[in-house]
Amino acid sequence: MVDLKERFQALDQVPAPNLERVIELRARHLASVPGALGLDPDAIGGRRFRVPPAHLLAAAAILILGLGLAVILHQARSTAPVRHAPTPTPTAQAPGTSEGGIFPAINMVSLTTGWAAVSGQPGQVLWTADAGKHWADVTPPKEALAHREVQPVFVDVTSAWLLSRPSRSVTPGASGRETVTTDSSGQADIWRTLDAGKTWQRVASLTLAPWFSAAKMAQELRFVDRQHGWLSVWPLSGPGGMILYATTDGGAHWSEISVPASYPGHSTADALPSDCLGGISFTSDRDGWVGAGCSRSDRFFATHDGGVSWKELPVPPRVATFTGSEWHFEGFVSRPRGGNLLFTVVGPANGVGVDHELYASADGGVSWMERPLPQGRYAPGMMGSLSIPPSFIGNCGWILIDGALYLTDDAGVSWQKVAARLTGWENPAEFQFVDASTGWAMAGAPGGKIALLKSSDGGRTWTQQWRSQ
Amino acid sequence: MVQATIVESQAAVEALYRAQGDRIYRAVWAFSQDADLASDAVAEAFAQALARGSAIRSPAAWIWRTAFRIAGGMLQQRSRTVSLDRSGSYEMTDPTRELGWALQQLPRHQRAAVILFYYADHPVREVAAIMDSSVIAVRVNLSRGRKRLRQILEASHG
Repeated sequence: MVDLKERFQALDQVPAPNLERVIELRARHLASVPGALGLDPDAIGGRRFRVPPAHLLAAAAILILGLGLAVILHQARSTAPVRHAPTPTPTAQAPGTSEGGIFPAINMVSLTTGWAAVSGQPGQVLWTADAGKHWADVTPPKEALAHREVQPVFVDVTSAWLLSRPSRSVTPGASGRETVTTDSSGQADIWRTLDAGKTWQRVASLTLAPWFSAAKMAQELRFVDRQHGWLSVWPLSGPGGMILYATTDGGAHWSEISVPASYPGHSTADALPSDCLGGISFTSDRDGWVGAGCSRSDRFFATHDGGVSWKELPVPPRVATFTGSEWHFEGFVSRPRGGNLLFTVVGPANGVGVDHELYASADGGVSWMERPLPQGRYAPGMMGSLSIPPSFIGNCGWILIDGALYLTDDAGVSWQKVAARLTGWENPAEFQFVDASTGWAMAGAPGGKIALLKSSDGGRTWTQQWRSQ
Repeated sequence: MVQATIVESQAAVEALYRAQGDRIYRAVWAFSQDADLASDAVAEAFAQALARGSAIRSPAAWIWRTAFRIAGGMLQQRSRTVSLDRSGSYEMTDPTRELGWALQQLPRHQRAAVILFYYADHPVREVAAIMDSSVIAVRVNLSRGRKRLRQILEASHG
């Protein structure tokens, strides 16, 4: 079996040019030409990046010569400030994570009470009990966040968990260059609060034993109530597939549970190789679903005993036509008034891009009806345009595509555009609706800030409720 | 005060270039298999970050994302006009050449996902942020990409 992690180390042999001078000159050009910086990074691409860098270099050099500046790179870096172009508005930053920190998340567990995790270094956890008028900072201790990648799981009014694993580390080298390394120890901590963040406890410290010497990484944590949770672990290198662990005591103890279907050459623990595996969803302490596509065989399983046993179900009809393609799904959402909604992601037949599809089931996944998406099945755009899973409650659902928000009130049978953009905000990272009219979103705000937004009219308009400092 | 903020953010971008500039370049090179394109994309991303200063909250995430978006756009544009000479402008070692050739057999989304995950060590959520895609879409691309890449690399060894 080819170890991809090892093979990719060959790239370290590729000589990298020193771009310092090019960057310096280009930055000066951008800062000195009004409008040059007006590109929206979300729209940056070849079509907008028209001017060859050599021309830019020449232009910048002429500009500098014309001004009679003797540019010495070191001096320029240490003394000359970067001037901002006068016209463009600073572009808001996507609330993503880098080099550790907490993953962005928002979960209003009722109309008045909820949680938000704001990414940063190391980030913040916020809690409100008055529908967002006030947010208490309930950030866990540094020990849980510093130099860690942290996935929050907000379950109810007072309960939340964190999956905290070591982040990449940067080590200064003798030559002045620093080395970025990834922790492969398989170590992960589970933190919990049961009092709305007043106190946090580390309830488990896990070391994920290597499987066939392959390093593992705790990938995703889920809880459906205060006791029942699941932790999926992925291989970082080498052979092996996803392993699923379950807890029934709030995260203090974890045990490996079976995943369905044995494939030739794989042990029980490795029954669904990660190469084939889709998302695993649990909608209660007993009910779970998993989809997989291996060896030209798309398969779909359900458990109704917390993962002890699995039953194979028919795959949704459209998926079955993609013979040989893998298909993956997440976001299985229970509907209070009967049935379920399932969000699927399917690789199209030509292997280019990702096909997003939506199915509804009224019988727990035994049979499926395909539902349309607002812009068709294929998500256009260079890197994909559907970046946030949809939010459903009852028959109402919202989905954000290419920055526009769409609403369905008939369980996905039809969609209408309710907002062309979250006006005034950029790069929404998370959004959630609590009822048919009340929604929450996390988005970038001008000046590199992050804002929590609220809508009281089904997503048509949004107002800021909180903003990072 | 404003001046101090600008200098601070400038210093952060410089530190980032020293720490990760080579890594970003190599990742973009692996994605594009074109040394000039990779240089242009990475330089443009860092230059934009410098010029935007404190308007960028997380320079590392922003630069990774921007460099890949620029490179992707340039590849898309070039594919309409000329066929790329993907041999690179330096003498590659066998493992590098083999990996580069294998990566080129993957569709663009899958290629970006496996490079960002296996070489750049970004977790899936960060890969999704860089590719402006969903976590589940990245999983699909990663899953399909690594499977195909393994098949290609194994086949090349007979």
